[in-house]
Amino acid sequence: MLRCHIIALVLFSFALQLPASPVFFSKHCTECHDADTTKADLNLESLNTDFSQPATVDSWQKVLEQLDTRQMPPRKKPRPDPSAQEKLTTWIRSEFAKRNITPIIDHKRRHPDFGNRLEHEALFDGSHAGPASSPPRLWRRSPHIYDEFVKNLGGLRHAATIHQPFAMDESKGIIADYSTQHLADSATLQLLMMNCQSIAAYQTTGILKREWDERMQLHRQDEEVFRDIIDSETAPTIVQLTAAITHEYQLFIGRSPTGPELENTLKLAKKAIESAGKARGLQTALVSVMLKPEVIYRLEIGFGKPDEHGRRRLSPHELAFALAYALTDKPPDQVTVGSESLLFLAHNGKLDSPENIRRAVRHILDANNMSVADYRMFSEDHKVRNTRTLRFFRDFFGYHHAPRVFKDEKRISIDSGFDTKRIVTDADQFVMHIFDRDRDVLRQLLTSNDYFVTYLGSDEHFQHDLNYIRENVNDSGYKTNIAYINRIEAAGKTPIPLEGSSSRTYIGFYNLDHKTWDYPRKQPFPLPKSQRAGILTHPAWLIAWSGNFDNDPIRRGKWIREHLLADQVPEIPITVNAVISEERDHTLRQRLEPTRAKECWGCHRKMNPLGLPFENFDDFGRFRTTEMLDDILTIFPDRHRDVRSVPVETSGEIVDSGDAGIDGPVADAFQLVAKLAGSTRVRQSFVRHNFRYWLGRNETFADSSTLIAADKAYTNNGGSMKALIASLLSSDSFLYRK
Amino acid sequence: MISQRRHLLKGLTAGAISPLLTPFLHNLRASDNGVLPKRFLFVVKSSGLTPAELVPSDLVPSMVKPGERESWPAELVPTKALLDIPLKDHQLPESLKPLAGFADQLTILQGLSGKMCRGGHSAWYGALGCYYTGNEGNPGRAASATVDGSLAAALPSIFPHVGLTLGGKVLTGVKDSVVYPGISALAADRPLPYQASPAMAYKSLFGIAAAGKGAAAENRLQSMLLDHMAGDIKRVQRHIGNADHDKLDHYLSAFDSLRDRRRKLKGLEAEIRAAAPIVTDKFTSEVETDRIEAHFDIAAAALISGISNVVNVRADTLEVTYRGLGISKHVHGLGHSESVNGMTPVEARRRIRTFHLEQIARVAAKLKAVPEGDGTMLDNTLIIYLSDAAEKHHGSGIEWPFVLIGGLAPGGGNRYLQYPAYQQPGHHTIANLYNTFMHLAGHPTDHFGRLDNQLPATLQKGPLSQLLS
Repeated sequence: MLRCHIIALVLFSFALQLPASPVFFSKHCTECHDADTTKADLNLESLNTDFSQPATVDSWQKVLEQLDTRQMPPRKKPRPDPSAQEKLTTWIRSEFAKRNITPIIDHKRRHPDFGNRLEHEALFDGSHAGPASSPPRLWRRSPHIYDEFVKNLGGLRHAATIHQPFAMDESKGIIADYSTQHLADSATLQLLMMNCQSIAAYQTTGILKREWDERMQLHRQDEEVFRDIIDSETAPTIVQLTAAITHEYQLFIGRSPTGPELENTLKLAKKAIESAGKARGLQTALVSVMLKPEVIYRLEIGFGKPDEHGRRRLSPHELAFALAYALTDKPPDQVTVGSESLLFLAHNGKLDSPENIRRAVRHILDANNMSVADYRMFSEDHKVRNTRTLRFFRDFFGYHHAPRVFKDEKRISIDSGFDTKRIVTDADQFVMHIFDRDRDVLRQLLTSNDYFVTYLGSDEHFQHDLNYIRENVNDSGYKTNIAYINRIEAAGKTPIPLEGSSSRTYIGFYNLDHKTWDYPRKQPFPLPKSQRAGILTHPAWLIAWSGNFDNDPIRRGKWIREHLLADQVPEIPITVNAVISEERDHTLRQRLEPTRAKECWGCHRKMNPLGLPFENFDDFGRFRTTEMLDDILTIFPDRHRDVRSVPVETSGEIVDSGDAGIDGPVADAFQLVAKLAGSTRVRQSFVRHNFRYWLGRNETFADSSTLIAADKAYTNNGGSMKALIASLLSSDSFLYRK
Repeated sequence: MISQRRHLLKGLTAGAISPLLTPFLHNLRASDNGVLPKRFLFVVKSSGLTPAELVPSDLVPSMVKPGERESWPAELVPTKALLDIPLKDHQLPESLKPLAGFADQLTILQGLSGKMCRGGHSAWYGALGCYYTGNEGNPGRAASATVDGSLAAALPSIFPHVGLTLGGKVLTGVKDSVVYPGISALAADRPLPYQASPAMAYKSLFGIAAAGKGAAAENRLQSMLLDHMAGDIKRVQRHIGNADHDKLDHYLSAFDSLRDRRRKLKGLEAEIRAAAPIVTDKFTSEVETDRIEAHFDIAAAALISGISNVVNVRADTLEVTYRGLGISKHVHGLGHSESVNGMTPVEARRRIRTFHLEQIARVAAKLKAVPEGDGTMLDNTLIIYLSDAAEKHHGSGIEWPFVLIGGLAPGGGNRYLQYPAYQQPGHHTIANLYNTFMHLAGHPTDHFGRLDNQLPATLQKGPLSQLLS
């Protein structure tokens, strides 16, 4: 009898060890992953549970990743029973946990470039009901928030060097500000401490600095609470120190210290003053406030009450900060909704419901419209309205990388400087104008030919700058400028309000002639529909996604595949030495022909046919109908007068997009972007990327309802991105922590 | 330098020595006992280190074959047996000529493999850690310590690991802050930071000793502050529970390490000041070559002053354009065999490599100028030049060349060593080399990172005997 029990127990334990995986595998996996086929080098028939073997762990890691992302079984095969699948993944995780093995998938899913790994259809088909939440988290403040804070300290920047302690990945086309990606360690701390010392000195004793004219000047913030202590003959009182510490808490954290916090900081202040005198002692106490984890990290723990799902809502204080830093770089006491600050609203129960939050978000976005657009806002970015939205567009499209793509001096002339920075401003205005109008935003972004070129924001600014050029007799190009203005005006046209002919030449990017162009004082203005349609035909985007000497159809196609089709392209195999031939007697399309080889085309078919339609443009973003051969292109037409050229070939194709309605050939870039603009898949991909940006993490299947709601908010409001953002920022994914 | 240290030690009574200072002092004492400090300088370039370019010029006809296609780099002829050639009998290859003065301590190491790593543009942490991680755009997870991290732990110093770089990840541009290039880790999930700005690197390494008058009072204040902060962070930790605990752990340990560092630096100001580099315009220059030069100045000073025993210079990233060398195309483009300014890509890459080796030669010369024990500091140093992309722009790891300079490895110097090719008897991997480094550091390991499953485990075990004797 006992023996029977033992045998039963052994069998039971074995069954527990392998919860139905043989059945699961034979049903869904071994058709491709058995001993005969071993697709992707994975043989699940021989997979055992000896987790002491690295190779076994590797295989289980693969299985877990494929199941968790629903990449396997492939889309066309029958879906596994969800409970069987969950049972298997739970078992793998528990076995890993027993042996202290970290599931690699958990690490990978924290990275921005993992976002598209989740099966797209499953996110939007309503099969996942949530409940949604984010993990409790500490989110390191962004470099922009830090900059904004330092700017608010007034003259400090003139007196001391303030270092940026919070670096961020600036890779092209990446939404980088994820809470999982950044932390503060000893290297960051060292920079922070240098800054904090400067700030504390500036706030209290001031910083003495020799000015350009050799004069010594004291830079001091001169706050009363500190002055009272520093300038007094006597030792500081507890009341004075309490006021100083409380002031610093409010300034850096937006709240007063708790009892124990005040007590501890007072203790430090007293000890430090005894040891090193009033000034240094006080400064040390102030630095201690500046270094608090709350100053470095945004705390989003969820201090609210738990709900029936075990989720905790963000407390009013947390919510105020989360919203303020989602929409701006300022703390919530400086972000207003009407006459009240976000912080006030939160603490007074006025952000309790999603409706109220949506209203507040809409209000903030509307109040920061660029209706009085001024290009100078972009060069002094603290003045840019809806800065965070602008940064989304930059991260998403990557067009602001244009100036970083090096173009040889011989191609662009040394003197002209070939101002690629200004086209970034033009593109900024283009996207923000569409955002402000808030109708059919994605379609407009992808198809509008209403462009901005050197727009100064208003007629007043135009007059001001033109007058400045007219009166600036000290400028070395004064005579040339005046001659230019007179000539254009004599022809009944409006001159470009830019000083210096070399600055004006940049409009050649748009196929405009700076010598004859009639500058439109009201912008945006339409460029020929046959030449421009949306941001992907904007010179800023085209240059950003070009090479040093040529277009880059592969990366352009990859961008579309990943950003607009929510798809992924496998990495280049390590055995491949990918080289584009330098045989310039062939067109670029011809030079890319080797990628049609069988072993390459599986991936390149996902990229090249999406990128090649942009052969409508050269690598300076200029529209063209012919491609020059034999020579490297420059911006000087004279140099290429006798060069051989052939008509450009712009055909392409959308394949396997996930939206059968748009799959098929396209004649050129214009057809391509028109198709993309009308696709549900593209819209949903846009929603997914928005989710990542505004939530600071990748979406999961539990966020499915949040994504669906955001998509609906967008479509039900006539393509309103503001409604989309408001929906995301009032979603359970944003508000709850678990 | 040594006598200064002895002087310092004499001045310290036993009671004055803090327990945290012990490892460092142990180091100094050891040097008095005849065991000299050991130093490692890693120089990690991007885009591959071409094996054929490291073959002595006069041996090229027999040891090198043309590349697969016309403008592609030539290739090393694989061997079945170990080649061990004295360098002095041959002509150094073009780009290694800056090292001519150090031939006695120069080793060219070829034929090792690193197939346990990811190939492509970068093996990321794998290059120095021997494991597969990351993808094209991302370093992925630091699965365990890299060899520079292990050496940093094995050879304690005030700054256990100094990382200097031109930019962040392998595919991003220049930044002026602390970045994580994803090639060095102290342990699993503990990536090591790099300073992207020479000016900031200077401040953080050498600025701390420049306190001058009132230094004692400042130190007291700093200690109070750091103690207070440690307490404050622990209170926050209790308050927020388990959420993102590793972030607060990191922050807390940052205060601990700063506190530790301050204690160790006490009294060493003069020594550090003497070795600190002279700050020039190069420290803030926008030109890549200037910044690289400044970083090498810092690297040399960090080693000579004794504030660090392990330095890693990330010499460039794929997006760097060497305008200072007259090359107007970025390293990525050159790697894809694009010609530039009348140069073939091979010539342009050679020019870049020569520049790197000139910098290494400058550091070697500085180390050689400082007496230590019966020789010089260079005798107790190993400079390791490699690429995180192994042998070519899209490395495969099937061969992974190294250039070693310095006298730390007794078997090194005046040697061209080419190990039998992949899967041939007698073949070895980069893990064997990293075991060798650990042996040299006095912390021998027999295994490093993960095994290459296509090779017998036995040959991946232990150090490279040729370098140890």
